[in-house]
Amino acid sequence: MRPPDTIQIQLAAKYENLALIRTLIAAALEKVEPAPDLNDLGYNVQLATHEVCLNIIQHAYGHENGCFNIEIELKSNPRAIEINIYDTGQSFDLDAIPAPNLDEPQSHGYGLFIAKQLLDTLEYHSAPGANHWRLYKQF
Amino acid sequence: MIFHSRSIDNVTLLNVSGRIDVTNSSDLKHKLGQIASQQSTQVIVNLSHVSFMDSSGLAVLIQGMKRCREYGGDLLLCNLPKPVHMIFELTRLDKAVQIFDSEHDAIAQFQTQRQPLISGLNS
Repeated sequence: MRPPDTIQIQLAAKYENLALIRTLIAAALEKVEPAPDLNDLGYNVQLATHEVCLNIIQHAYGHENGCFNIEIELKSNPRAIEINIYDTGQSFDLDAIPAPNLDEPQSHGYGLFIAKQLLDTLEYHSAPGANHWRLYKQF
Repeated sequence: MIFHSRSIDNVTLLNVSGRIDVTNSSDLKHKLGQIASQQSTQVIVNLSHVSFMDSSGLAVLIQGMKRCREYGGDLLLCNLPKPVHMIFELTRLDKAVQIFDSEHDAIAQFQTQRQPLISGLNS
C-alpha cells in the first residue's frame, strides 16, 4: 500500500484564495492513476470544497478576518480523496439548515446542498473556536 | 470573465467565457442589468466557454431569468459544458430554465414564442 499523500496549508479566509484551493486539489489529483471520470470527479471535489469554503467566509467569519486550515489527503484503500477544513469562526447546526425547495427556483441557498450532492460524505463538527468540515469522495 | 454580446432579431445573445464565481458574479449581474436597461427581455446566455461556475453564478442567472420573465421575456441558456449542466440538474433548475444545445435552437424558441403573437395581431 502506498503511503497517503497529504497537502496541508493555512490560508486567509478570503474569496481570492478559493482559486488556489481548487488548484491544490487539482495538483493532489495529478498523482492519482488515470481512471474513468477522474476529471469529472476532480471538478466535483473542487466545486464542493469551494462551496464549503465560501460558506465559511460568508457565514462562519461573516466576511471578517479569519483563516482556513486545510488538509488534502489521497487515500489508497479504497482509493479516495479526503479534505479536512478547520476554521475558528461562528459555529452552526448543519442539520438545521433547510434544503432548498427544488420545486421553486431560488436565487440563493444552493451552495452546501450542491456540496453534499457531489460528495460521498460531508460532515461538520462544531466546537467553540474549532469547527471541522470533512469532505470525502471515493474514486 | 469575458463578455461578448450581440443582437439578432430583437434577441440579445451574451457569450460568457472563463470562470463565473463569487469573485466576479457581480460583473455578470451588472451585464445582465445593462441588457435589461436597454429594454431587451429576450436574452440568450451562451456558456460554452465557461470553465467553472459556483452557486453565486447560478444565483445571478436565476435572478436574470426572473427579471426577464417579470417583463414578459425570458432568459435562455445554451451550450452548457457538462460540469455546468450538472449543477442545473442537481438543483433541478434545468426544469425552471430553458436550456438548449445551440444558439440556433434557443433563437428558434424565441421565434416560436413570437409566432402566435404575430398571428394574433394579423387576425
